[in-house]
Amino acid sequence: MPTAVASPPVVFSEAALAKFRVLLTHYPEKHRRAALIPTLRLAQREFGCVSNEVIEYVAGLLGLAPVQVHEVVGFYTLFHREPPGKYHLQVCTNVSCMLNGSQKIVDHVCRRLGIRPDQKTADGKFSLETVECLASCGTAPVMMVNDTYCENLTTDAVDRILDDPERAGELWIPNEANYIRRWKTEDTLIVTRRFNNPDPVSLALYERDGGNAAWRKVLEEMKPDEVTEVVKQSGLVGRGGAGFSAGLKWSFIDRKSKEPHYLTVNADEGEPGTFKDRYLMEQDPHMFLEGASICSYAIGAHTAYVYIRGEFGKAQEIVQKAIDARTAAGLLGKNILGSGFDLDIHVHTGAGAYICGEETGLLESLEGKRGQPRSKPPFPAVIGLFQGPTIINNVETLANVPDIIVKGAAWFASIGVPKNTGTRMLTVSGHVMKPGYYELPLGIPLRTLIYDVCGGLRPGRQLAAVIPGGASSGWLLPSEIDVPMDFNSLRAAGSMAGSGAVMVIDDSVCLLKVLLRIEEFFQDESCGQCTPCREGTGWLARVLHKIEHGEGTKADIDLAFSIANNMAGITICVLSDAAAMPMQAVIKKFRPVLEAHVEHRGCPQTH
Amino acid sequence: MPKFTIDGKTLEVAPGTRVLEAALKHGIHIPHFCFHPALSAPANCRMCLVDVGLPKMKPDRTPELDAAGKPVIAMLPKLQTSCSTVVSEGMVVDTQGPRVKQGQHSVLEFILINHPLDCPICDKAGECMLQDNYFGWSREDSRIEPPDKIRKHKIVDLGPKIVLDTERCILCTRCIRFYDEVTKAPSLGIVNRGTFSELQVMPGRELNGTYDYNIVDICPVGALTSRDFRFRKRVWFLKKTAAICTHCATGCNMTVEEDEGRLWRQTPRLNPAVNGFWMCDAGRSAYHHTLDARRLTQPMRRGAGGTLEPASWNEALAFAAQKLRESGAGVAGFVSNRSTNEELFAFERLFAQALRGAPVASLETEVGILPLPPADGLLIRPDHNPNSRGVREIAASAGAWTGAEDLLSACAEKRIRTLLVMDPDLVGRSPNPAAAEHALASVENLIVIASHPSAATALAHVVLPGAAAQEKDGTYTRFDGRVQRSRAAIPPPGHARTELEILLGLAKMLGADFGWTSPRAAFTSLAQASKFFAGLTYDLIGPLGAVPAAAVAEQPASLV
Ligand SMILES: Cc1cc2nc3c(=O)[nH]c(=O)nc-3n(C[C@H](O)[C@H](O)[C@H](O)COP(=O)(O)O)c2cc1C
Ligand code: SF4
Ligand code: SF4
Ligand code: SF4
Ligand code: FES
Repeated sequence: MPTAVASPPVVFSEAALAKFRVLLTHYPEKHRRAALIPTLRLAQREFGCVSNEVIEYVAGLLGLAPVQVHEVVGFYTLFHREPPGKYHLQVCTNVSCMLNGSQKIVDHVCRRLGIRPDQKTADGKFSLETVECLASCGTAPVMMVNDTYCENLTTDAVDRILDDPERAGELWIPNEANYIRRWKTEDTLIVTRRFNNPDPVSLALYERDGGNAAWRKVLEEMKPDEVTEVVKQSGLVGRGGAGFSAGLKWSFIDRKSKEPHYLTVNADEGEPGTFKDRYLMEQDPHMFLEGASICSYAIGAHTAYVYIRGEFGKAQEIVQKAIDARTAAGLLGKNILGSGFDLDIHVHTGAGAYICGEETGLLESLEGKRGQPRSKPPFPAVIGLFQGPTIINNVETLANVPDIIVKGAAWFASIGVPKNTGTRMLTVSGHVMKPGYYELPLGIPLRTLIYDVCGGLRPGRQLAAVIPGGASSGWLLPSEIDVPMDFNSLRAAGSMAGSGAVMVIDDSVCLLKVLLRIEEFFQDESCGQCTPCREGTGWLARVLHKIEHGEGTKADIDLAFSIANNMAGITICVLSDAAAMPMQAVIKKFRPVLEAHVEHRGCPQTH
Repeated sequence: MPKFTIDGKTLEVAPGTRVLEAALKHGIHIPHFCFHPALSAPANCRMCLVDVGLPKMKPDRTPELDAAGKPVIAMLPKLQTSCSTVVSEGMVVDTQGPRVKQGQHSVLEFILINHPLDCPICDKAGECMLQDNYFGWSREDSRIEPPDKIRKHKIVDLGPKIVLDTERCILCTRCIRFYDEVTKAPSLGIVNRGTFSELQVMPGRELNGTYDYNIVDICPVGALTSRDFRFRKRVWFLKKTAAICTHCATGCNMTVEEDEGRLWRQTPRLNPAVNGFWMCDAGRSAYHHTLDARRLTQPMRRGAGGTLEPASWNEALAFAAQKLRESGAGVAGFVSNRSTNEELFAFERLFAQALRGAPVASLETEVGILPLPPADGLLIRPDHNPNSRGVREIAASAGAWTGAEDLLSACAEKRIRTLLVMDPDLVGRSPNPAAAEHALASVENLIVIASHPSAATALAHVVLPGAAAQEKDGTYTRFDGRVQRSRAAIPPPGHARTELEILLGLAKMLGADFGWTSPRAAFTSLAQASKFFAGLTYDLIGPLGAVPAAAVAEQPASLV
């Protein structure tokens, strides 16, 4: 008779408990729930997955109702309800990877392992998942083996990795062209200036390169309002997507509020095609941390959080080490450099949800809830994290701040174009010869970017379309690429600068397939609270799927257009608009592509 | 107090009022789903969209005026949800414009694309907000073909009481917020996201709380159904009566719903001072006690053989009256805190006028007639009876009654020959049931008025079948003194009669005339006889009850 094997009790080891206790110290006593997502991640590492028992256990640890934990687990894609394989493979299938053959990689893995996505091999060694943008689009196609990135993948590389998954990180061949940064040698570099330094965590190296001068200057010589004023004068606008003046935002902080003030650094980089913040954190964590410190001083925050996307294991580690180094050197902590100013910065990790990049979705997530954006007003600068006035800024935005303080607002304003000053990291992916990240002055024409900076298209290919500011932006026709790459010009062109992610598409792929992939992305990433977004993203994806597969009619094209129009402008956050925008642009500008699918009863490019 | 204009009407509202609240209060209906007046407003359904304009301000923070001296209004670029928009001075709201209509059409269409449209078998049909909003604001043909709808789970068991249909659920989170904010015991949540979002309980757990049925009421659609009502009755057949729950001293206001003399459902009736929008599950389900097959429906008399035998009302009442008359000083009575004020008053009058002031007592017990969860600081109170306060006040105006224990001892010692009992379970509810049973067994003539069998009816010489709460008119005095009126939804079963009729019948046989026969007139007379009830009438009591002058100081804060 088989005897029942008692499953091990769900209780943290002493080591895990110690980590849990440290986590709790990062958040105000009244808001212990904020530790939920990091605790669940700890639990997943400890127990292999987040089973019902684990949920009950974690709920008990944090004094929550189990259903409150259950709904959080159900929101984030990085939580496994059942144990994945020993090596969990996540292949990105979002636009940039798709343009570079991610489907071939998926098919190859499936063939080699005899499984399909969302399955595990019989021996439990491998499991496979197809995932959204991993922020490595310049080196597409990309796959993660547990926490390790494998880039520039070929089927050969996949074979090597599957044969020896323990060494996955060493078995792919990097393409140096992806890490150029600079176009002309005389270009000013600000945020990528220190890239490729041998030890990003080293404070000594950072200070040798002039680091922390701004932080010292601020603490010794400047009043908080003066700092805000300089940043306002510099013309720095947010690099996270909306392009709002950073200094102006800081000036909105509710000074009368009795609640503690917070800075939250948005390091959740998830907009498909964007791969700048991950590199900024990995290559030079001190620069944005210094900027974050300066911002905290300006807004009167004594606690700041860096909300780092869950997938960015390496960045989390490096940023934490850099924070530790800064704390040890007295640049963070109590009475910093004798100034009387206190500041702690904590790393907070997400768990897989694009919508947590939206600033109020991020705050909800940081508070240990589903990342559902909040209705505004009230704006976070009045009621934000833990009910306190909160400023949210992107990593790149803050990385610009130290140089602005040291070299002055006028210096910064002299770079770029009026009202859109400074440089910007543009991350170019798709069908160009030299995809990668580039730091360029704002306002560089798109044509120059594609043909001069990125080496143009592949031989024999024609430009079909450009997505200029992340998956949320409206597409541009080949005839529209003389537009300057700054916030105002792209807005005037009916698109947006967004996150600086440029995806170039040539005539080798079906544009409808690309659009469908984008709409499927929004369907998967809608938080689901607003009716138009929840239902509209799904409906759009289904109608497009029909057309792509030859079952659509001309009326379906009009239907898709009207769905997109109806989704726009009536939801809590702008994800719904973001899903509508590419659809609207494609129907306005690329309608013949859709009609061809109807006439051919399927994709004319594969038939 | 901010003033604003909505559809051309200018209204003044309390600071902090939201546009939707103000509109509903003034008869302007803005369609909505997720908003519920007792819960927070997540603004997730997006149904209540309106156009909002604000006065343009000059740099000195005063409104800019046009040539005619009127403030210049700048309309906001996007439609706003009226449920989450707080009224501000000078705001202009339009609920009817083409842009608003377009927004409402869009939202309704999005809600309906994945809705199963199984109204013909849906319990909510007839009281569904989606049906109403569709009829009022859209009436368009569907642009999605049924096979393209997303299929979810039709029957999800949420526990012993509630069934969830996730296809009908519009994810408004009202039910989630009910637990989070009202019972403060989070029990439901949404898992997954986007189109795949689904309402769930924690796996392995179920809804088995004290207030679960309330989520069925507040679900705007037929996603949550009560096992107690599912598929039993189409709601449009139900006739509704305003009543009061009698299972604890809270006295929740409720609607009793009936068809052809049969009770089908009880639902809470809004009373901000008493129960808000809610009632407990035990109270709601208590109508099953009224439907009990063992109800007493026939007057009975103990026959020569010692067994209870059916009798006519005339025989039974005549026998009882004769024994009461004959027994001289050996007469006594038991009332209870389960009776209405009018019944208590009639009993008191009977003993004062027709029985020479014979002693009356009442058990001072918190035990009711149904098991109830313990008091919870929300609605359920420790006293599981509706009218303990009424007993106290009526006894006080009659000049204090006898103690229950003394009276039971008198029975045990055979000093009482004839005892008239109007308590549903004198033995079971007394602190010492064995002693009470012995006392009743010692009485020569035990006359019991009751709707259900009990240890007392088993010992009785005469049983007079009475009415359950839903079968009679009358008032109850809540613990804080508020007097609330409950109306008869159905007649008593069989030959049973209301207690008031029974007491009036006895009075008549004993030659007493109180000068009134209806509950309404009984109350008017009570208000003249008692200082506590002075000044109140049925008309003043109205649907939400009334607070006697003597009890004003005791009133708790409003619940809503
Ligand atoms: C759906 C959505 C996703 C977003 N994702 C990001 C993101 O990943 N990173 C980011 O910095 N900002 C993101 N944003 C923008 C933020 O809401 C916010 O504007 C930004 O973090 C503010 O910082 P900034 O002013 O420095 O740009 C997103 C916005 C939306 C609507
Ligand atoms: S628009 Fe979409 S993502 Fe944004 S809050 Fe609404 S449902 Fe969530
Ligand atoms: S079950 Fe009903 S109340 Fe609950 S979320 Fe769904 S529609 Fe709303
Ligand atoms: S709380 Fe009391 S009065 Fe209200 S329904 Fe329950 S038992 Fe009845
Ligand atoms: S009622 Fe206002 S958004 Fe639902």
